[in-house]
Amino acid sequence: MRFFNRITFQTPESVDLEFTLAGIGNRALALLIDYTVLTVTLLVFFLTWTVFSTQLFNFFEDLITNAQNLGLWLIAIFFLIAFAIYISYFVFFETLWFGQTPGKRFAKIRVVRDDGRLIGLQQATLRALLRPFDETLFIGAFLIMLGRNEKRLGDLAAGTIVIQAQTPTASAILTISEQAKVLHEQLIQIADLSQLLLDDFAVIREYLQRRGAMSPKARALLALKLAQQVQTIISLEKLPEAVTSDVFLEAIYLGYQQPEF
Amino acid sequence: MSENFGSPGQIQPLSIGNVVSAAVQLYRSHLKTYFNLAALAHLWVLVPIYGWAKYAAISGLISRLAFGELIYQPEGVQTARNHINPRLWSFLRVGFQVGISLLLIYFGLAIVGGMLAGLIGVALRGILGASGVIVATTLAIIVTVVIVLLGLTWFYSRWIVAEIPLAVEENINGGESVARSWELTKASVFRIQGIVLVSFIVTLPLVFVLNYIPSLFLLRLEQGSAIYSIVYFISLIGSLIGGILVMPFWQALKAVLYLDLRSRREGLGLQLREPPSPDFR
Repeated sequence: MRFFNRITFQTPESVDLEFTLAGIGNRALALLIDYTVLTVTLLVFFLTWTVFSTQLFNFFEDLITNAQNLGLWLIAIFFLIAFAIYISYFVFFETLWFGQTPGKRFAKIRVVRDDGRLIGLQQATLRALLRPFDETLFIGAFLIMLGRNEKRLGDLAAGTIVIQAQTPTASAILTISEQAKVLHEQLIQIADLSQLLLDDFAVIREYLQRRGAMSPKARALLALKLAQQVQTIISLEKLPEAVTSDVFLEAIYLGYQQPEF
Repeated sequence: MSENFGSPGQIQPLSIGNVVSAAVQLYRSHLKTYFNLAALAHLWVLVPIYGWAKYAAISGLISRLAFGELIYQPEGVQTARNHINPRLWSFLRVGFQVGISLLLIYFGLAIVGGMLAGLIGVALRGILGASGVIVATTLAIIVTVVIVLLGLTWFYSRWIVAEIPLAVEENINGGESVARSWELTKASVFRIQGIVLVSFIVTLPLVFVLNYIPSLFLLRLEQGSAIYSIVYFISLIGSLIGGILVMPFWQALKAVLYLDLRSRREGLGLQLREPPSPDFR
């Protein structure tokens, strides 16, 4: 079974592009962050407005007859501006950052059009304006959780879809020890590294990148297991005794960077 | 990494949001099975001791079923039961161990938080004088709540998958299961706190509709009247259904989290293909 909903876009050149939909978890996380930022912003605005209107009110109180009306007006304008901030936060960021807000950026998701193109001002505005309706009784949340394409009302109206943004994986720095480089030179002589496929190197790289976060015991076991599997694949008689499994795997990985074939 | 283009690969760790999404998806595709089990578990709660052990064991059963799906070795309910039932009392033990520990920690944190808040109050009164009472009280309350909340979720995160090893692994007892949760979550507390927070938000719509809305009606009705009793009954049923609906989600979440933690901490799933068999034999 599949744990993430996927969608396929067809480009005008008839090339299929497959994307993973954002999922309720990422969208909730993004919303949480965006609303935290918005709350702080609105709080700052509220305080500024309070100070400003008190000053204004005091100034006008003696000059005009019905100062009460002025107070009502100031409150009304406050709500108008607050609503504008709320809407424009999403419109501004989603237009400027091509479908991302600070929250969406953190959660690594992005809004795109149904056909995979980037969204523009219209889509962002429509999504933002329908947001209050989606929030009523969590209609949007239910629609995202139950619908196949995870679209809330705003997405349905604007013809948009939220996908996981592909992050260009910055090739994490792998520390390859000097020992491994020496061992690599020896290995080329005695073993046939060409038996290793790209997938094998991918697994070894995965291990080398993530080993730092592993528990020492599990890491030692895993390194030994991987080393033995490599040993079988490249038909090496026995693992080098002088070095650890980690160094052996590093030496093997060097073969990926400098293909011999 | 072009080979992982746009897809969370099988062997790669999951992000906060993806752990939650996977749990929702998993639950959705087995809604009926998990819901029935959860309903059964909630009925057992009414029976003291033995019923509670049943509740804990059925929770574990749901997690085991979910875990089986995740590692592409799905099991039937009956097969999974054969693993769970002999460990009935161990599940209760795990539940008690974690529950009582958390309770003690809660009291400890509340005392520490209270003392710290008191100190802040005294210090602020010295600085601001009598007029600072409101500020001092507010600050003291915030400090206490933050300490208790952060501390409690920190410990809860360390024990979040306490019953999962017992449910899915062979040859492990209750104590070892709890210890394993503690070990696996070592470097992930902050991430788990995020996952718990996002999960809570995701369950909010259900909890809101089933638990809070009926209670809102109660506020407007006169206590003791016939309508009040009816609405009270409805709200009780609503809460029960809410509880039954939400429980499998958390159990599925724990299964996903356990797999993810093992993948991070032990590199689970990292292995090379079977070597090509020599064909000259």
